[in-house]
Amino acid sequence: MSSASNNMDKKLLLIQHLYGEREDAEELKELLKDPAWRAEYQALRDVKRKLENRALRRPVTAPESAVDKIIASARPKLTPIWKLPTSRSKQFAVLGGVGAVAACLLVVFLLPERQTQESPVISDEVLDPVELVKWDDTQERIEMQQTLNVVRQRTRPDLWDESAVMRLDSLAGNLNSSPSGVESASTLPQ
Amino acid sequence: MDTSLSDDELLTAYAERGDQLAFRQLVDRHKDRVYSFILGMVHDAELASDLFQDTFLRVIDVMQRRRGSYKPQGRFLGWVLMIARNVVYDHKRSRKKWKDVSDGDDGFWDRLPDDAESADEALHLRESSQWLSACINNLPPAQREVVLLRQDAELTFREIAEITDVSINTALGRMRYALINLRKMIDQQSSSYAPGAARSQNVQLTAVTHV
Repeated sequence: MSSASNNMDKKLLLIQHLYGEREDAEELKELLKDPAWRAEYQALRDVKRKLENRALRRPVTAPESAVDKIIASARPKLTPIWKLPTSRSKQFAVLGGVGAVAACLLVVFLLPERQTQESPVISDEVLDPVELVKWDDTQERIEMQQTLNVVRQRTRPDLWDESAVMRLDSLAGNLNSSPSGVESASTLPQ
Repeated sequence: MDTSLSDDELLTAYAERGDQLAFRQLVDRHKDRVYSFILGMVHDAELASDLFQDTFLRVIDVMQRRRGSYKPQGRFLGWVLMIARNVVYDHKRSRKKWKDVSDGDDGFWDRLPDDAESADEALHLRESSQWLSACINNLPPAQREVVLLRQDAELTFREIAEITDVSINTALGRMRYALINLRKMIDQQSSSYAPGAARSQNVQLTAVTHV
């Protein structure tokens, strides 16, 4: 049994030596001392040479049309929007990114359009400086100034001092006589 | 593109950055050996071209699905040949045409030219690569596969063992039987063209199929 397996090992060793997959030259020399092994080795080596010559005589080349199709298929593919990542957080991230890009595009393309619609037409006509200040009518300006003074007086801080409180008390006294029963400001808890 | 880059470097360039030139270089480097193996398995140039394309489309598919995280696992050629082998077997299964050498009606001798040639022509035929290819084609499938992977694709026996999912001793044993069978075919063919030998003997060769 051990002899048979030993023989088998030697046969396999011969194949490894034949194809240069075993570097031990001494081992091969030892094997070839046996005439039977030597005969087998030589016979197999002849066949191997024939196979090698066959490959040299008739080199097989892959068809270029097939290679071109392969290379064309190797282009990196963009992931379509409907093939978003399966993770929900990744989906939100991708959708958020797409939304941000869309918003930027809207701003870039729509805003200039609105501005062009509202912008005044600029003509080459030179305006008279008198015409430019015509809106500054004197009477209107005086009335505006008067209105402004009235507003300022009514909102002066000293209008809300003691005198103002007294005026409120008197106003409240008048209201006390009314059935609504509103208390005067002076009777209110301090 | 730097031609001195290793397969793994080119593979990483394509997988990580989508570098098409790197992929082109990889294909150019190994296309003939892959195609030769497929052609040896199917014996039909048109079909071999289709299966060759299918093989690399599967390679691209795997690379693109793993984009950004691809880690080279070993020798690129071995990996591609494993895919090529699967493509060939898938095709054979789908066509249900996988025939063993023993039950084929399109036998070895049928594939050889049937006309009675002169001794010189026969000698030329015997020596020709076409004749040897026919001999390889006549081997049992497992032995033929090892011959093609070792002789044409130049894989080591360890790589062949990995691809075919057998032990290295089994791969070596198949190679040994394949060489012995090829030797028998060569001897038998020689004797059939010997003076006085009848060509019409229709000698049937029984290939050793122990492994």
